[in-house]
Amino acid sequence: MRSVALRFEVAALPTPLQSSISPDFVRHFSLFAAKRLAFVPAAVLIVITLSFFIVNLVPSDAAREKAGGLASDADVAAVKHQLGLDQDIWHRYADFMSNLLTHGSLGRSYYSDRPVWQDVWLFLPSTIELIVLSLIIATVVGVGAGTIGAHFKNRFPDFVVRAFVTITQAIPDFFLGLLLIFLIFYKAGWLPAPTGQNGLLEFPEHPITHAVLFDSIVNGQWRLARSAFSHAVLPALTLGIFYSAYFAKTARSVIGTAFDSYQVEFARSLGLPDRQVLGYAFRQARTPIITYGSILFAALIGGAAIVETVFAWGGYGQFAIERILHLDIPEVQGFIMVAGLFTLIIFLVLDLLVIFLDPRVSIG
Amino acid sequence: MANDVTQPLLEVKDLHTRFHTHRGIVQAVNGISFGIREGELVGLVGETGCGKSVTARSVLGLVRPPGRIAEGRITYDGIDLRSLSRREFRKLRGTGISFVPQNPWGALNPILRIERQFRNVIRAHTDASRQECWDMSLAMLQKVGIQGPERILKGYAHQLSGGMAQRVVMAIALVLNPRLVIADEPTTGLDVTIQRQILDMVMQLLEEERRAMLLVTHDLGVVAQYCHRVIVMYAGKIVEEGPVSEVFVEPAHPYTQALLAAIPRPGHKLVSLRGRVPSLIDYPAGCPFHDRCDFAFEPCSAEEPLLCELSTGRRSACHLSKGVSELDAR
Repeated sequence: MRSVALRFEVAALPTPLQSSISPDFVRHFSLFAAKRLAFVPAAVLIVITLSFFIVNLVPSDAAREKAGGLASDADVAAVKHQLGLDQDIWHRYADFMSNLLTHGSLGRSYYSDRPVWQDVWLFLPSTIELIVLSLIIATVVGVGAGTIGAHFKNRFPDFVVRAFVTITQAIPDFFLGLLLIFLIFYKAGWLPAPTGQNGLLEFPEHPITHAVLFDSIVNGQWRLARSAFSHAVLPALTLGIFYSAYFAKTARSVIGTAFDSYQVEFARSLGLPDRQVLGYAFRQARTPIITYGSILFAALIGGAAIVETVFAWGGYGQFAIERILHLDIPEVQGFIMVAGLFTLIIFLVLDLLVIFLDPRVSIG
Repeated sequence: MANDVTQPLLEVKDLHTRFHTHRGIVQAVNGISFGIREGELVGLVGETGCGKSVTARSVLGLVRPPGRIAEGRITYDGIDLRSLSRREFRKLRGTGISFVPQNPWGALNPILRIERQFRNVIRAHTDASRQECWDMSLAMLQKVGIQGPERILKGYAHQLSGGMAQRVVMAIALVLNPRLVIADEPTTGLDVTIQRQILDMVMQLLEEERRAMLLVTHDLGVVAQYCHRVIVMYAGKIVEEGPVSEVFVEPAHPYTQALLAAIPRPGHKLVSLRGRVPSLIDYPAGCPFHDRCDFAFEPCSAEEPLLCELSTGRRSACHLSKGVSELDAR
């Protein structure tokens, strides 16, 4: 009889998962998510407008750039008319916006005449692939080093970590890339030459996203995948090591603070195992580290451009730099808008994630 | 088990805890000795920076670099704590000696349910099932006077009021029935009524179950009301020790007298102590209190007075009280 009663009690106990996602929570959460989502179009509109005016008001002569150095003034005027650059800026803005809103079109490249969206889909996935790989390295190395530094604060391992942070922050990322190419490809010969995402004589078939490593894995082309992986190591390592310094710095300070906190002291005073105490400290430090990672993720869409160029990665950042140098206005506008949109989405996801991770953040 | 009068539950002998900072070595605790018997409630008082919290942490083995216990012997129930391995010491914390920290919200984990925090502690030391953990936590919360403990267990720390949070922290610290509880300013920051309620409850609980407590505080009123014995620290040393009934009525050390005089009382002028606490890096010669003492005479600046016994269980470190006790003895 008693055991029956006991079993009833067990069944009545809510498991943590059930009660944390209560109907109430779901309702509040969806309301919050909807509000945040509703904000996105307005923000995108602002980003688009700003990008349009920044690009178009900066003194430049796209028509002369396109017509070439030897073109006569009449030729330039013809190109100008053909590109619509002879119209006043409000007219162009109205044109641009109506095209975007009715056809979803960002216009066509002044040079290739390809739709801007097509180039976005062609180049953006490769950059995202590189960013993801880099951030995995940066997080693992950085948080690991930061934890070691915090644990051995002001002792020898901490000095090593701090030296690592200072040195990697002082070296520009493209130089770090060249150094790795020199040492690991040229001297040691462990990894292939910086020819982009695959070897010069490999021609990826059936591209889905044009991010070669991702595509080859999805397609099950294992030989290509191996090659793509070995081509990805050096650029990812370059960005990974470079940005791990920032992670290490953040992690060292937030985990250090967590180690000194009352919370960790109380946990230790109760005789919790070291592993669990470390877990308490990590959970405390989690939100700042995730926030940091998200900001970096968004910033690297353009921020990886130079490293992409060094490794001929063929990503969106590299493409954008090339377009900027040619004053290919629609492509540049497209790039700014996509980067802005991407940032907005990342921050939205971050906000929602933090709510899930921290019960103290109330939704209202 | 040795728990008779001659063998205290906790015995600290000649403890030195130092902090190695870039400005020099800070002698936070400078050769103190004391004991706590089974079931005894001992108050450890002194002003900020006198080494009372460091003493508490030294006993718990929670002194973190750059701090370190340089010398001394700490025995709990006949076990030499400094000879324990990390693992052995960890097993003792929470089960034998446990700790109630100053800031309850800071001490509780903000993202784990209270239930889970109890369970982590219980499971760190026992093989209790989930249900057993729940029952133990529930019983303990009821003991510390929490109504509707189920709701508290399912909630988070930020949903608790200050008084509730402190009760929960105490319940977690007491859940495995430790024989010695070290509390560091457990009720600072709570308003006086709640402070009173919590202390009434927890002290009664400790007395009933014959658990010992080292209560670190600067609140002399709390010590006077709840403790059996009081230890007064000044600049890393014990200056006076004895039963509360004697020390508060007839303090032997000028510092204790000054502390008691500094308690605000209606109708009395508030007395404040002149001068400042000596540097713990450049330790002064002679008595650490001599330049603030109204009774200082020649030997005070030259020779450090040793802690000597005035009567049974009553000690004071002052040239004057030494003289008095020697005179008494003649």
